[in-house]
Amino acid sequence: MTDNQDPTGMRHLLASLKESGPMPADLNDRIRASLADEQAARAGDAGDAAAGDADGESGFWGAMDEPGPTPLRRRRPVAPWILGAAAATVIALGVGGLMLKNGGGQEASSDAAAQSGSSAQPTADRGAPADATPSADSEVPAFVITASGADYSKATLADGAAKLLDNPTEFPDNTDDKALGTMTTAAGATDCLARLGQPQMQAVVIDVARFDGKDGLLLIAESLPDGPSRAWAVTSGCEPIWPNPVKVRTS
Amino acid sequence: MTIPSLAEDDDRALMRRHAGGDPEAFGELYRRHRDRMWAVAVGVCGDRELAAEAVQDAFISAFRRADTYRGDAAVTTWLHRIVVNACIDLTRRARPTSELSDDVIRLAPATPDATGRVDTRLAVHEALHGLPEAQRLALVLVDMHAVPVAEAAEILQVAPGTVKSRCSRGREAIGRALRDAGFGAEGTSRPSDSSDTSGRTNPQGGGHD
Repeated sequence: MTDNQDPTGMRHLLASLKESGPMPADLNDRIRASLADEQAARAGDAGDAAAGDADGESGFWGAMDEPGPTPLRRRRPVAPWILGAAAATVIALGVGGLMLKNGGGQEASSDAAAQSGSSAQPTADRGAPADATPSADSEVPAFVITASGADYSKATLADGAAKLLDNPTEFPDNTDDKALGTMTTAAGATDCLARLGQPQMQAVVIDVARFDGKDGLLLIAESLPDGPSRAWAVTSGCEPIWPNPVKVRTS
Repeated sequence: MTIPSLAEDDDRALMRRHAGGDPEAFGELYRRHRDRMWAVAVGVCGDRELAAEAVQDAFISAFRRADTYRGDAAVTTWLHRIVVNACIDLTRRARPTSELSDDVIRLAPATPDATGRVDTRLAVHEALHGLPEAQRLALVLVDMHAVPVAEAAEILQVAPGTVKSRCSRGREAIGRALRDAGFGAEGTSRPSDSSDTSGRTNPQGGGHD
């Protein structure tokens, strides 16, 4: 979380006050309209762009219009392995916070969506109350946590990440939650990805490992549904150990 | 297809594209960060209406001022700074003193001891927003939103040690306020306490850093 110590226990209480819902739909619409006006003014074509935005079809918003609910299950064959291993991890560790909502349409949880600002926010859900809670029977694991114990170098990071992504069940489960820092929950992982500049990606595997001898986490994330996968070496507080991510090849 | 390349670009690349005239790049940045900025604005403003105004002002400001982004800090740090400043401006203008809002109650979890939790959350909320602004901002970023101290220092444009000091003083002040309001060390209310916490805390945590 942070290197600042908290002997008072206040941090936990303050964290519980964090806004957990996505931006309200009406506010989102208002800002989108304002930004479309800005873009139109910038382009010197206010009338056309503003009119286009009203229909959600303008070029400005074309890139950011949310697709439908994001399928949580991957299309690649690796998906069953990952989900199965994650289930085992969750059962073994009792990490309830690892769950993402799978409400029929396989949406991400409202909390994760709130943190990601990503396509995980279903268009159809924009009008739903922000504090809607998922039912317990509608949850599926979000990512796998392993503790390979590997000591990665910059040269071996991409290959190591690819092996983990292909078959995470080959690696030992993590048994030390402290090593995970903020990554024990999907929201924590998504927060970390946002700080790494990739809030639209979703964590797939987190490996407790070492990096040139330094303790840390290998965070593997992908852009759903079939986007590229990348891996970062970070501390448990999400500070990059090495400045740049590596691309992870997928089978 | 420009959409996939936008999605794959990192934030800095999107800022460069926006500054260079790409009409779609800022939309992608907004999509990525709107929910986090909204959450931070709610925490800093302590009021959803003010937060809505602040986050709207902030994104418009960021759109217009993209050319002032030099790339020294992460784009998220830059955005955080704009949102925090927008909240400060609006809060100072609109609401010099903190008030409780129904939003705090709405956010309380529906559990068997929900009443006690609501009491606690009300008290913490009130204590937080009774703090000096500098301490409150530090706590909202570091404790509420888990922003690393170094990044919070960049956002607030102070030294990391100052952020730590403000957090420490703020936590102690909130702890004192909770104790004064009849809550235990972990924020649990004592059996004999009233649930009415309004107007009873004054957690001024020191007037300087």
